[in-house]
Amino acid sequence: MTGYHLSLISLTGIMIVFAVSLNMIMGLCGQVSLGHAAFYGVGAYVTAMMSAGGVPTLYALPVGMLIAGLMGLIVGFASLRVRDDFLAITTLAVGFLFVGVVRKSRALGGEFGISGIPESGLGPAGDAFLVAFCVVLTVALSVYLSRNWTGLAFRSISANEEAAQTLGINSAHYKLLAFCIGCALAGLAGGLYANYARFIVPGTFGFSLSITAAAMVVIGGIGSTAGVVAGAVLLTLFPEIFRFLGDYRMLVYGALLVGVMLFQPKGLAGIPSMVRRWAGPR
Amino acid sequence: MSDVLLRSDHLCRAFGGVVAVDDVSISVQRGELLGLIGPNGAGKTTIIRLLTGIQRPDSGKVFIGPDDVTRLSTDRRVRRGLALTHQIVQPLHGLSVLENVALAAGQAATRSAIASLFHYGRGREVDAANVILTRLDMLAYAGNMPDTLPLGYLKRLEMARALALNPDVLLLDEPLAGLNQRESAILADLIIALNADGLTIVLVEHNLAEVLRVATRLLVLDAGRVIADGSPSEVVRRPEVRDAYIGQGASNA
Repeated sequence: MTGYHLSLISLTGIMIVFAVSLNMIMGLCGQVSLGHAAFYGVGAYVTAMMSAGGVPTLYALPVGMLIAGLMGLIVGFASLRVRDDFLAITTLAVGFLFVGVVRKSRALGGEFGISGIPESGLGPAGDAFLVAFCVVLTVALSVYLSRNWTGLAFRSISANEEAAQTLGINSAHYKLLAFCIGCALAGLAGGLYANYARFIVPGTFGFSLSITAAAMVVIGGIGSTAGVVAGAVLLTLFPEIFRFLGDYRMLVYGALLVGVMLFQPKGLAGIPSMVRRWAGPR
Repeated sequence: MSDVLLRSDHLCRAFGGVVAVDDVSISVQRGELLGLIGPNGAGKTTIIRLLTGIQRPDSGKVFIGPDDVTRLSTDRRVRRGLALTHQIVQPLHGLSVLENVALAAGQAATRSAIASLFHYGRGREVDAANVILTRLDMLAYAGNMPDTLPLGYLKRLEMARALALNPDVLLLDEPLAGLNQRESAILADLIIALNADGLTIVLVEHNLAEVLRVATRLLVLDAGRVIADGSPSEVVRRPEVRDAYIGQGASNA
């Protein structure tokens, strides 16, 4: 396996963690977020700053998670006030705000970002293993959350918040929990990214990354962990495979997104049952 | 024994310039089946929504037992013993019929969002849901998604979920609306049976014949005010009630 493959696998793993973290908010709990890259960015910057300050990566990562999770909690309060389209616009603004603040912050390196982030000391294979470990942990948590009582409450809020409240569900607390967990895991993904890239600039954590994550969730299948993992793999490898399309890649992306929403609302996750329907006895 | 389980104290609520509920004070006694009737726009549904906290009053208070719950959210009132069925059915789509009912039965598991993280098994709640679905003759549809069921079953699902909350007071907002005569009669019989088992019920209903059959006490509302309160047979004979409600009904019939 070449360094290129190893790095591609790491990147794919990081995007799986990131997409699955968004799915906890959007898929399980039904809250739109179009600024998820900000939390990925918070995790990346915290981990990068701490690593640059001499803190071992394995200690910096949880701190990045924690801070991203707290930020998520704050933005989560917005979800208590606004819903649907308005929440989409609010989270969108959070995304822009993050990039704007970081660009102007001298302490965070401004436009030039943070370079020369020291190696974790785990070696290339060790780093890849660390990513793989985080993927397994995130996916396991996502599957657990979609089957336990938290997940059932999340789904009830996603379906009909008012009806959920009449069943004794404190929807505010559950929505905050979803934002907190989802954003903490986005912070983990960002920290892994800082460790992987060893050079971060504010532009990476902008609107297009938030939209890419949302596309992974939608194309994979909103709410389905397996589908979102597939979506993350597809869309991470997609630019590599379709490199020859050049700038038209974003166009194909957009077309794919619209196509999925129109013709296959359950995304990749809906394909097995569709195939069964076609192949099965009538 | 006549203790008050649920009480409203001078409730008022206006929407724009329209006064929907005007100085309404009612109390629900343990064990009764209180019918709440009135012409369209009388404020019946608004009262239910104020009592359950879906809407907040402009003034006035709501008490569950001795406690002032006016400032508590719906979910907190539900946890204090209220349960509600909606006039327009609100099934949780994406959850099976069984999951809809089991979620309501899982009050202990969902009480705190953080604590819910550590609750996994559903055996006990599913058992409880199955018992209720059996009583409502819906067990065959336990695995169905709500969007595959006709209205009659969705009405019963509303009822099943409310019962799964194991409430002290059950508020039913037009449970019979949209049902045919046979379905109405079955559901009304169920309401009588539940009340006979000791459940306190507030029934908002348009189907006057069924209300008169099942209610133990009747409140009549008109234009946001209580205009009569008493035993069903006595209340319907009052002239002001006939003017406000029965008269209209009779002229339509």
